[in-house]
Amino acid sequence: MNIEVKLFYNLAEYLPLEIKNKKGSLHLEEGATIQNLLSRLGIPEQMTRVILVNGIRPKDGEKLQEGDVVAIFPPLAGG
Amino acid sequence: MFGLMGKILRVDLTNAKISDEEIPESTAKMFLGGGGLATKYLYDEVKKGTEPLGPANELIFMTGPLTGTPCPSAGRYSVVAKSPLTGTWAQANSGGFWAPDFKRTGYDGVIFQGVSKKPVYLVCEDGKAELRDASHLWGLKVPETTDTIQKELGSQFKVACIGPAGEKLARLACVMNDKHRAAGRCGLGAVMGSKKLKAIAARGTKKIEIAKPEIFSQVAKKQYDLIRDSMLKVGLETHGTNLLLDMVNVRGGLPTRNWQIGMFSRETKINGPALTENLLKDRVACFACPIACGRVSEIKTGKWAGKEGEGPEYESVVLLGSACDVDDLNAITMANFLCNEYGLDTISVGSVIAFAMECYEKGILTKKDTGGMEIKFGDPDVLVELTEKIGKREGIGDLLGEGVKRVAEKLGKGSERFAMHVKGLELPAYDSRAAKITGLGYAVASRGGDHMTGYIQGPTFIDTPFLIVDDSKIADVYVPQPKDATVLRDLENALTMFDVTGTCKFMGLMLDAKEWVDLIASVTGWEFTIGDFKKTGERVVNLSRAFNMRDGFSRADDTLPKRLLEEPMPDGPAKGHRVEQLDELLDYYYEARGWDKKTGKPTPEKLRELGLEYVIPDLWK
Repeated sequence: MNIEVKLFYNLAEYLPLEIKNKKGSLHLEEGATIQNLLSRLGIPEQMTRVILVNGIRPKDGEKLQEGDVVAIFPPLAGG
Repeated sequence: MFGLMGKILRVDLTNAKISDEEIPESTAKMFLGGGGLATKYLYDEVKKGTEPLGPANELIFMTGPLTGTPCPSAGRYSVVAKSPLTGTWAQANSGGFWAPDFKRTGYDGVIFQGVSKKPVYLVCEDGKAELRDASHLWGLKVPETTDTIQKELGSQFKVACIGPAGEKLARLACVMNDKHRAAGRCGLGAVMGSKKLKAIAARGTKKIEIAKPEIFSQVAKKQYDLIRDSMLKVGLETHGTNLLLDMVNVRGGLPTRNWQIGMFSRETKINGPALTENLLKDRVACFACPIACGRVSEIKTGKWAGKEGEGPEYESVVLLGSACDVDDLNAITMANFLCNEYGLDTISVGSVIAFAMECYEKGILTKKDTGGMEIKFGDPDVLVELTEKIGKREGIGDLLGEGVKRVAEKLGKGSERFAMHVKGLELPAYDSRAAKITGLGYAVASRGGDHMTGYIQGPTFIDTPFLIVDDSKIADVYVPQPKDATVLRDLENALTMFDVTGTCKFMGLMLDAKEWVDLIASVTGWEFTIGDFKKTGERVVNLSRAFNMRDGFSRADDTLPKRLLEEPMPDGPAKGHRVEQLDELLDYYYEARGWDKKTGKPTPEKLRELGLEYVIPDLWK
């Protein structure tokens, strides 16, 4: 399935070259989760903070679906 | 006194007389300073029913006990008066560098009363203050005013002033300082203009005495280092506050086309990185701030090439940009510069232009009304031209400068539905249909549709908790709980303390209450606990509320534009949502605040608890 990934600020460097600066999509296996996506992009767990699927915080272990837009922001503050 | 200088100036503009007086210690202990102390004077001295642009209104500038001390971001001041835009209590707050110099002249603040016969400006130096003729300054824009005064008095003088918009009593006019910093909201520039007061120039070298300097330095240094090494600093320093644009847009809450929708399709043309890449010339910090979120921008291409100034900030980019459907960052920046030069609130100006664009779209405004201008959504030239017209009170700009509420009242034809204000103050850049609790925040803030009182946008739109309160977690942005109203209350009480002490609210993200309590206690030498911290904030919120209630405001005024209450968000993550739970949220909030549910008034019990017994007869006959 294809999903759209938006990485912001210092996370943008993890975007694969083929979809950098493009409204392109990433191809993932059916039933992939956020974890799968993070591993695929090579983003260390501690680097992420805010992950939104279609603008909404996902539930733990939620499976991604065709056409989902995943936005990942680095942590800004707090804790 | 320690921390505070212990004195304020009183300027009777009608009789051109200046006096000074001590701040009673009991008052200082209850209200500390800044917006808190100013509110106390305003409540006591400005009677119910006062005309905001008339002689009986007071214009109060007040610094806090931390202002000018070596504490992170401790350079702020508040301007307090009754607002000509809303008719409510109002506070506008600003950073930059003016406040520490003013305080070092020996005064915590200044109260302006009456109306001067001719334009004047106040000059403050160590231990003295003098009114001088400002007829040569009247009519000048903010940068020219500042330059002229500095040429006369010396470049070490810091200047707070109004531009032509305030002189002409535009209700969207603001107070500017250090050329580019704004005490922006609520039309306080018009109050200053109504008094024929053009500027306050200050140069001070007196020492601000700290009661327990070793403890103070220790805590201040620890905080400074924490912030300096934080991701918050990295983010804000790199892209400025416009960093927020992507975060809010991704959540579907970015006001676009006058809040018709919540996402802007061309966000990459106006977001944080776009500003950094195309216009950023330098990064600037306010007094004693480790972050440096300020921008110096230069327009490099197009018809305004060569224009330079500070900003634009997130709010300005959205209200002048996506809300007007404009994707031209040069135009947005130019409009921002014009607001700074004429002395106008960028949020309100953007909002009223967006409103005018929708009215034009719907045929409620026509070319006949606009003098031939086609006020279409998305037109960058119209954005810039209208901003200038508002600053000059020229043509259609004369009406628009009255603010969205009055324009809608005049035009009618159902435009009130999408006049995006609460109590007359235009809403800032977060659509509550994408985070319902922010709607409660807008509805209940004492100065109207405001985000800075509680900034519950932090925990919701930018997923940033505020360490200054115990728990700022919002479980579900679409389904508010009673607990969320308590979070709002706690945030309002805590963030008010930054206005009270003269410090920047960004510090509230990173630093907890215990540290602030230690700073306040060690600077003043007074006993000050976390309980006092919360109670002082609560007291100020209640007194500002009481000011409004005394003037006849009630629960009925704690509302939202029909667009947010009744029109479901058409698209995006918040699709289908509207703020239908407002009544319920008001009930939870009044309960949490100890206010009467029917009228929204602070109860006698609550007022007594806060040491405000004398207010009871004003609210409860």
